[in-house]
Amino acid sequence: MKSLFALSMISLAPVGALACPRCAPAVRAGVFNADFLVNLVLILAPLVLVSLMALALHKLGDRS
Amino acid sequence: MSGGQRIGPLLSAGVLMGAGLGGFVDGIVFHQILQWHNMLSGWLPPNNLVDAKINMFWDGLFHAAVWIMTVAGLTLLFKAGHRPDVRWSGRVFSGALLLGWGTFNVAEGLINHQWLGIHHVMEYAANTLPADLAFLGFGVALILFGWRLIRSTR
Repeated sequence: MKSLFALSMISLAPVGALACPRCAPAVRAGVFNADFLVNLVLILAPLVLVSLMALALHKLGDRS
Repeated sequence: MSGGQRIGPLLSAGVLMGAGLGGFVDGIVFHQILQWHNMLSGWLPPNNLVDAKINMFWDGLFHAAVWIMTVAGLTLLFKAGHRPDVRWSGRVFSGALLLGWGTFNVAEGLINHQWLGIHHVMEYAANTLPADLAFLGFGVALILFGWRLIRSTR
């Protein structure tokens, strides 16, 4: 399972390539700006909520 | 393998996988095939190549996140399969998948569509509300059906 996670992380490495110098400057400026973290949080917020629910069900799912 | 009593581990695995796969349905069908919206199309309409590529970047991050959720769910499912105290029930797992997908739709619909407006289901329609409400309603229906499936095993 650990190797599966490692493989997952390695497969996501292309995401890191976004900061590559070949990336069009206008695109890079449009992504990596003051709003970057805000956009990231907003996009991930629903997924974080679902993950918290899954965690709660893991602990409490047998009581309901 | 089905003699246990616990369903919690199966629920968490199913919810994560359901949300991940539901996210892929959203991304593949609405973002890429139908092209009804992109991740930030409500704030930054993809009217030129640069803005389209910026939206494409955020679509990619979203896909990466739901891919990780799916892998996490698969990992939990694998672990649950090795536990003798877990009841190996197809109905519980199917219900959890629907519950996860529905919860993703409702959370995404309420936060991103209704509250923040970073995008809408049919961004370029004259009135975006009907499709947004249909998306939310579908999510609620999935939650109710999934919950009913899970409860039917009690």
